[in-house]
Amino acid sequence: MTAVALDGVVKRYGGVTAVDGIDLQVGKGEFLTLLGPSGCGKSTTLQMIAGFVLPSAGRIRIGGRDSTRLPPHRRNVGMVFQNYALFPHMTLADNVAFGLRMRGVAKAERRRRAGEALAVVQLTGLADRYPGQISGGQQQRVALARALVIQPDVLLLDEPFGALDKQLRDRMRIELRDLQRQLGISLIFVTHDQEEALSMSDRIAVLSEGRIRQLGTPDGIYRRPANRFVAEFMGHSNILPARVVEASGDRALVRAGGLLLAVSGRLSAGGDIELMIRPERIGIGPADAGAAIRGRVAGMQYLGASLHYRVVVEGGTELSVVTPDPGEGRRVPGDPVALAIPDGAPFVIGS
Amino acid sequence: MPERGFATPGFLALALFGSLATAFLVLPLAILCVQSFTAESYLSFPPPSFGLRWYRTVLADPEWRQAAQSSLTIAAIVTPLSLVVGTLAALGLDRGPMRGRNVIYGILISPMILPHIVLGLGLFRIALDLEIDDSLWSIVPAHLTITIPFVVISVGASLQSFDVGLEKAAQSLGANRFRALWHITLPIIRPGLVGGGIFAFIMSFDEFIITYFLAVQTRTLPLEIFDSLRYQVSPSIAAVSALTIAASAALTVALILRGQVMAGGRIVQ
Repeated sequence: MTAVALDGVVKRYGGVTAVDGIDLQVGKGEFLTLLGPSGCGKSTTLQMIAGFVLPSAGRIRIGGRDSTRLPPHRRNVGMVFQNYALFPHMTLADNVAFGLRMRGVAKAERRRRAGEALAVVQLTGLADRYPGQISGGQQQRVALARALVIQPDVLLLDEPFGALDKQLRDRMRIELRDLQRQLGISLIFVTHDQEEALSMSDRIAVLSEGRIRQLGTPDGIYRRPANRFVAEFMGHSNILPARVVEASGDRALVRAGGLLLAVSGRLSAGGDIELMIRPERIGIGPADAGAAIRGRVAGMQYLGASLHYRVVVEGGTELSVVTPDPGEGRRVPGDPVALAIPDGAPFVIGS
Repeated sequence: MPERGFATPGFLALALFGSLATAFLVLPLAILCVQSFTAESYLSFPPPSFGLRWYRTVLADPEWRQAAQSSLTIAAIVTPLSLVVGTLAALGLDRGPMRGRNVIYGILISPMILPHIVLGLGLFRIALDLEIDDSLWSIVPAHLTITIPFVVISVGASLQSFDVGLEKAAQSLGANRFRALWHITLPIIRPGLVGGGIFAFIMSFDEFIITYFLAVQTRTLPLEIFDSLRYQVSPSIAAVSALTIAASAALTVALILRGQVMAGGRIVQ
């Protein structure tokens, strides 16, 4: 079953195309993230699903109903806004009950269900407070409860954690994911933060310039990016131009600068390709005469849990290498080191 | 800049100037109020004896009562109409397209800058042609031209700080545009509505020049005060003036308090 289906959705503003033909299906109970840099069209897409922006072309189905031209209040969609948009003149209970009130639910029933929703987000006891009297994290939860209580066909969240500090953001991530699983909600989450996307989603759609660049599971997108944009957007990566030296079947040997690497993929000898190697897949150790790849540390960044090295290898190629901090025996700039790139680490992203 | 406190010569001079200016504004009113309590049949300051004689006279006089009643009636019709029209105009300006916004805004509030004598003359011409002079049908619209700008400005200012996202949130929760406006926007911009409404009421209640052009039989309080000044200077005018000042002062106090009442624990954000 699909909760939401976008079919060739386009949004043009004058001569500018904000969303350029998006096809997307969100399954019932699925957590799907629209990920991309600012201006990639992710928020516009969300606004079109919510009904605040009319598509220039294409169709949107929500809960099996063609909703392309339905006004927002006639779509059964819950939305959590970036600044929460809580009604400042209403108590938390009234905020949460608002959607029920608009649906003509009787007062006692409203009160009961709002209480339940507040309990789900662990805010029992605060029902009679006003939004101005509670913390940002609590406001976030109220916004969530308010959107959930109407039992929407899909829950839309637009960069909901942007205003929270890092610790709270991490906790909200876990809470939101647990809640979504527990209640079986279909959810579309918009963010520019790849870590947020990777940690919560069932699937991620990576957007740029109004198009989906790749749609897949977090693991698939991180490890097997479809193109250079996705590879670079999803965390750190070493991207190296390379030439195929030798190819047989779906294995090939390629040369990237001074490195000779084995990769998988059907390639033809002599062709130019691009390789991606994630920094954390590269091993770093003491210089060893027998090592295949030798280099020299050009710089080191201390990140607490991990160390981020820049290593210049023979032939002048610079590689990023991330390792857990060993505590002792950190390399310092100038140290000769040996690198190990295991089989499967280099991934062909373009040829 | 070093901290210098308030005891500098410059500050003291400013304080003196401010006090004098305030006294200049307030003293005539104060003198008038004191005079209104005279027990004599003529105006003098200070009055040789005090009493409520003239208040009794004024409140019992059918002409004054009639005038007060028509002023209140007009203001009571003008105020809600100004609120409706002015709020809709402010919303339109706030939400509508950018193009032409300043022009429309300028036209809407122009009666505030235009000399009332010119405005009155123009309205008089139109009212004559339509044969609606000397009736509520001309006086109420005439008052609206000068009261609506106050509502547009007051409500417009409230809308500036209003987060349109709240209306969107309401819509996503199932409210159509009208219900979003009714349940969310209007309650939140209430300080602007109350302020605009009080201004509109006072402006209409006090309005003299334009009404003077249009009214013949109709007597409003300002017209009655003016007429009675022309023929006689009795302490009853002081009493009427004192009552008007008291009413305006009460509304002004309400205007100042409304901000604090609204801020009391609720709209904090």
